[in-house]
Amino acid sequence: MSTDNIIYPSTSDDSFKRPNHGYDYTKGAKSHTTIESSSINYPTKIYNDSLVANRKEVSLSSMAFLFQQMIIHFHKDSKTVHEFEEKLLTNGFQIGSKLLELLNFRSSINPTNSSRTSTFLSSNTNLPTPKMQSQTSYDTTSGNSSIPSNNAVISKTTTQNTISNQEAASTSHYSSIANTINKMKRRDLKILDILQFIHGTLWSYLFNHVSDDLVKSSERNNEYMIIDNNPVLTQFINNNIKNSCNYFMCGIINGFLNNAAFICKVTPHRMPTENSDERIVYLIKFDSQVLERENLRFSS
Amino acid sequence: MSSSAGQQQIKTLKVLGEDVWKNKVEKINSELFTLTYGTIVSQLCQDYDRDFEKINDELYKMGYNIGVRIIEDFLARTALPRCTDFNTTSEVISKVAFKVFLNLTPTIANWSQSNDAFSLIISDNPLSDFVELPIDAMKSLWYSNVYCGVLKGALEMVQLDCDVSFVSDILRGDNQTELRIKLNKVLKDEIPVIED
Amino acid sequence: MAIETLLIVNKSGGLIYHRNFGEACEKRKKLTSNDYLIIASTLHSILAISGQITPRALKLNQDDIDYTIPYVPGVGMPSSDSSNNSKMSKLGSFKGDDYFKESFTSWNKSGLRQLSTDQFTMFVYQTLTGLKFIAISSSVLPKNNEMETSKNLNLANQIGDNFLRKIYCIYSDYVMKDPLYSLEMPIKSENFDKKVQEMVYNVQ
Repeated sequence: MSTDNIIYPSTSDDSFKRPNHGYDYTKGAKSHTTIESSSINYPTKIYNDSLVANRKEVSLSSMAFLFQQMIIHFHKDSKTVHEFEEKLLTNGFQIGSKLLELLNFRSSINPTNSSRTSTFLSSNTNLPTPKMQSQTSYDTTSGNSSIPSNNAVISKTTTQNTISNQEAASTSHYSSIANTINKMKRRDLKILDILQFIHGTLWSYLFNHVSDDLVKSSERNNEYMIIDNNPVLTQFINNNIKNSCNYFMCGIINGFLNNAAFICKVTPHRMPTENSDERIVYLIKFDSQVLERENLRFSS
Repeated sequence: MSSSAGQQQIKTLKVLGEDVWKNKVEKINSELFTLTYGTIVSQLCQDYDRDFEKINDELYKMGYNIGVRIIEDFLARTALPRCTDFNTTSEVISKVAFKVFLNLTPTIANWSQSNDAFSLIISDNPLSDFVELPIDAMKSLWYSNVYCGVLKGALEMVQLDCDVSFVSDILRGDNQTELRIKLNKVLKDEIPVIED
Repeated sequence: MAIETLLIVNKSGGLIYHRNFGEACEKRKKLTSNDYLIIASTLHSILAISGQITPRALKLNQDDIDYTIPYVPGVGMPSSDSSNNSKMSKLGSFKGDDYFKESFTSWNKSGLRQLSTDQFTMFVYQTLTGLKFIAISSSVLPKNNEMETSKNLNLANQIGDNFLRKIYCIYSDYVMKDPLYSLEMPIKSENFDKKVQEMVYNVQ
């Protein structure tokens, strides 16, 4: 039994044996003192790295091999298929939750004079209507005209923003990019808004193209579907475990939504059509409390 | 190494690596790669209860499994002939292999006296973007140990028995990330008989 | 060039893949899977022996021999006017409309590369890692006059090598990246089968 389960009294007495897990809350941040140097050897490089997307890429092969090894490792450790899928879901979840914060932050960065998509997308993408234009409006408008949007207020201060952008851009190398953000993108509160974000921004970030379709189920109120005609990560995997491996992507979507306070369950389903043999449908089932909240807040 | 023929060969390899990367390789967002590797390492930390020696071994094993397979991808993609000496091998690894798979070109340095060992200095390692190691990990975890396994596995499949290990890592507070590759021997019996 | 059979032999001589294509093979007496195993290991030994018996005179003139295989465009690729929509990942992890587009050096410097008989032609492609790809084609090379024959042989050999290198590319994608495949074991991958079928069909 792990000693983690025992609640230790807080004490700064060194002699009290306790497994060292890095950060010791009784003492606070420890400086890594070495015999050779007395300077604090605490690597804080990551706080200096820029969060602006640098469009770095690796080959699909590298990702495929890494993914393969991850699957082998989880498959080995799991006794049932369900356990295997849960592991993939949990790991994808971690990634999804981080991406929520990262992509929301990046989409708040004001567009500079260079390509407006360069701030948070990998490379050329075909977003329907970039959200950047309605940056300063209250509700994020969606590119899809069939979804009713609230009034998009194109702020009068847009031109003002552009001027300050140029100044900010020139100093952005030397100061934090927080200076270039005039207004943080507001949290998506409506189901459709956040799903649009996933369909457009998240998918473009991951795969350089928007997802193939975003559909609301006609049968049940709480079900939505995101469709991918050619799932990239699992394309080399054979059908016997392919669908289980899609749980990783489900985990990413799940983590993204759950952390944005849209509790849901996501499952993958293989639905080939004549055009695409490998078509996967990610079925998103929102929790009833989410729908209740949506009805209370947004029903007209 | 300083002969002009050698320099010419290095240049050709560089051009080949860049050409293959630019035109022949499907790519994916590097941050997804980074994040996936991150969850793998953190899952291992959980599974092995932060026993970093075991985690290092497991990462090495994973890398080895990748290496024995990635070599086929590499050979099918580039069809490079067998390297005539270990110098050429180092150039191929640095200018073609790393370039084609990770869009990196590590620097080759610290050749040993007998020309059987060299170091790769990796700047801008994609696996460790935005990674910070906790204090207990800094002492014993080689975060990118998967690279060692990959190189060992891949070189073994082309009949070069090597020892690959990390010398230093930026994540551990060192100045640079350095990988050391030492050739033990050429596995002559396993060389396919089609060559001389 | 109609490919009838594809065999893949691992570095220890074990057969890891064999597939027959086309209807012509139905007419012939069927070989059992055991027969194929025997064929594979026999070929493995022959290839090893043939590498050893290359005449010394040839070995001395090593530098004069050109082992480059030129790129033959369009081998195994669908015709350009096909109505197939260009799927993003048509070639797996290979970008562009073909697996490779330049000439390459053969790794097979002293072993058997081609076997022509009056019933079939067999092409052998060996990799640096000891893997052997063998294609047996029903096309028979005519033996009219000497010059013609060698030219035909050359082109056929080049097509064979191009084809087999592409099979190697497909192997590196759909077999190497499959989590459930263990090295040196028989290949049981639907994806691989499908892609190979497509390629063989396109070569017809």
